Amino acid sequence: MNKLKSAVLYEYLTKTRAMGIFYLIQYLITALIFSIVAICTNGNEIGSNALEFSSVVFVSVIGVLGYKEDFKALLQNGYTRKYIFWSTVCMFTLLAGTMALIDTIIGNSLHYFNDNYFTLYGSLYGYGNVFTNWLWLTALYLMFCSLFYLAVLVINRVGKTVSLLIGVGISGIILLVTALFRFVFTDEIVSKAAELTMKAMGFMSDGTTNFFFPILSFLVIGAIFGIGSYTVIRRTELK
Amino acid sequence: MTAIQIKNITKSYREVTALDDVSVSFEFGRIYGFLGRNGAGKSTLINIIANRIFADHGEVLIDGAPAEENMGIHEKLFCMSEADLYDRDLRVKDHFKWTGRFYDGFDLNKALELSRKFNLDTKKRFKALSKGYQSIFKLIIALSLNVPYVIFDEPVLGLDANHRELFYSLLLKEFENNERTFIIATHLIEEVSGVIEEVVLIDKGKVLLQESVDTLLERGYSVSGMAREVDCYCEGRNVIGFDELGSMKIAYVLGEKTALPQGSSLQISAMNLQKLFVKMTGKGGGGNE
Amino acid sequence: MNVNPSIEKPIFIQIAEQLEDSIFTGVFPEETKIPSTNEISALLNINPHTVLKGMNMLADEGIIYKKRGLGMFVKEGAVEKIRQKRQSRFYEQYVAALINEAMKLQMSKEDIISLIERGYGNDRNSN
Repeated sequence: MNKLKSAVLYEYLTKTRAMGIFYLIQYLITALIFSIVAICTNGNEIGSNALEFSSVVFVSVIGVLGYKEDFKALLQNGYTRKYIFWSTVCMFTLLAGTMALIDTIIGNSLHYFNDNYFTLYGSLYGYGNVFTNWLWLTALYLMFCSLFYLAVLVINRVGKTVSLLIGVGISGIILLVTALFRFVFTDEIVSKAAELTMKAMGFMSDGTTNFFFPILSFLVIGAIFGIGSYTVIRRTELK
Repeated sequence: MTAIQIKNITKSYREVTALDDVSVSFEFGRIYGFLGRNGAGKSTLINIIANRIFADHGEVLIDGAPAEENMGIHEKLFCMSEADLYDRDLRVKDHFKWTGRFYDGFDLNKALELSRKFNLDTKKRFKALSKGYQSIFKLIIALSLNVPYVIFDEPVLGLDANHRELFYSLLLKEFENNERTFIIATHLIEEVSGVIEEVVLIDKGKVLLQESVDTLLERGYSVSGMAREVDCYCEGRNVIGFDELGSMKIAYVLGEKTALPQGSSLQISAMNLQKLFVKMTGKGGGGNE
Repeated sequence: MNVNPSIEKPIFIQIAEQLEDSIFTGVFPEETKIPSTNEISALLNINPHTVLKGMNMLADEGIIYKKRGLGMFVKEGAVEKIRQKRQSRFYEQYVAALINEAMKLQMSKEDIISLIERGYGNDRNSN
C-alpha cells in the first residue's frame, strides 16, 4: 500500500508543475483577450467562455504522459504493471479532481461577477450546485484521461501502421453510423436513441434534470476505457 | 534457494531468436561478469529478469519466487539499465528523493556522498547531464540501494578511466561491507576480470559457459607449433579456435593441460580471458574471422 | 604490489606470489600483520573472494596464519620455509629450462658451466 502511495505521489507531483504552467498561460491569455474585448466593446462583451474546454485538452495530454513518462519510470523502480496501472488511475483521479476544483471555483466566480461569462456545466445544467458541478467536471476529465491513456497504449502496442488503420476504421464507423441514423433507421429508433442519449446526459423525457446521470455516464465510459487499458498494459513491454 | 534462476527462457522478435532456451543461475553473494558481444542477448535477458519485457517461454525465479509481475520481489532486485528510463526533467536530487520513497533500502546520504566523490552536480536536471554523468547518476542509485541482487547493464559506458576505477573500487567496497550479488553485463571483459568471480558467457542467444574466472584461466591455454603436430595434439580436445601464421598454427584449447610428449616442438602457453572470449564468440557477425 | 588481470595466471596465484615475495624480502617481517583482504581488494580493485583465495593458499603452506580478531600474521620461520620451497623449485624452474634451451642451441655441458662461472665472476667484479 505504501509503495502504491509513493507511485501515485510521484505521478501526481511530477505533473503539478505542468499544471501550474498550463493555468498560468491560460489565464494570461484569457486576461489579455478579456481586456482587449472589453476595451473594444466598452465592457459589453466578454472574450471567451467555457474555459473548461482547454482543460479537457490538457487532461488528454496528461492521459498520454501517464503512459509515456510514468510507465518506464515506475518500471525502472521495480513496479509491476498492475501497480503502475492503479497508480496512474489514482493520479488521473487526483489530477482531474484538482483541475475540476480550480475550474469550478474560477468559472463560477467569473459568472458571479459577470453574467456574460458562462461555464460549460452552467450552460448545460444551470448554476447553483457547485458540488455537482465539481463532480461532473471531475468525471468528464477522468473520462478524457482514460480515453487518451487507452489510445496511447493501443498505439504503442500495435505500432504505427495498424494504429492508422484503426483510426481510419473508427472514423469509417462513425460516418457509417451517422449515415445509418439519417437514412436507414426508422424515426422511432432514431428518437429512441436520442432520448437515451439525453437521459444519459441527465435530461429526462419528462423535462426534469437528473444531475447524477451524466456523472455516472462519464464514469461508466471512463471505466470501459480503463478496463481496456488494463488488459493492454498487463502485456505491454518496455520499448 | 537464494539465487536468480533462469529456466529455459526463450524470446523471439519476429524471425530473430534473441534468447534460445537459456538456463543459468546467479547465486547470492557473488560478483558475476555477464559477458557477450553487442547483440548477444544480454540486455534481452536482463530486461526479462527485471520484468520489463516478457519471455515467450520459461521463467525467472528470484529466491524461488517468480519474477514476472511480482511486487513481492520489489525489495530484492534492482537493475541499472543502459536505456534511460528516468524522467529527464527531474533534478538529480529529486530522483534520489523519489528512489528513497520507492525503495526501503535506499540510502540517501550514501547517494549524496557518492555524488560528491564523482563530482555529480545534484542540482542539475537529468537531461542536462552529459552521457557519462547520466551513467554515473544511474550507478550511484544502484550503489546506494541495499537490495540482494543488483544488475548493471553496461555500467561504465561513457565514463573516463578515473571514474571507471572509482566505480569498480566502490562496487567492491559495497560488496565487502554488505554481501550481495552484483551482475555486471559488459563486453569490456579485460576491465572487469579482476572484479568478477564468475563468468557467464552468452553468444547469439545461447549460454556458452558459466565458470569461475580462476578455473577458466587454469583450463584455457594455447598450443603452437607446426600445423601437423598441433592438429595431432588437438585430437579429442576441446578446441575453441585457431590462428594460423604460415606453416605455424596456434590452437586455443579449453581443458586439462597434459604434458607434451618427449621431444615435442610444441609450445604451450596460457591464455587470458579476453583471448578466450574472442575465440569463443569470434565466429560470424563481428568481423573477427 | 601490482596485479595484472591480462596476465594469464589466475589472479589469486598472482596475489599469493606477490605476498610471498614481500614476506621473503622482509617487507612484512615475521610475526607482523599483513594487509587485510579488504585493504588489498580495495588497493588493487580485485574481488575480495579472489584475494582471500590467495591468502588461503599461503595459509595452507604455513607461511601466514590467522590471529582471531586481529587478522593475518606472518608465521615464525616463514622466510626459511619460502627459501626451502624456492630452492626445491629452483631445479625445475631454472636448471631444467636452462638445459633444455642449451640443447636446442647445441651448447655443451662445459659451455654452460663456463658461462655460469663467468656469471659469478662478473658478479664478483661488479661488487
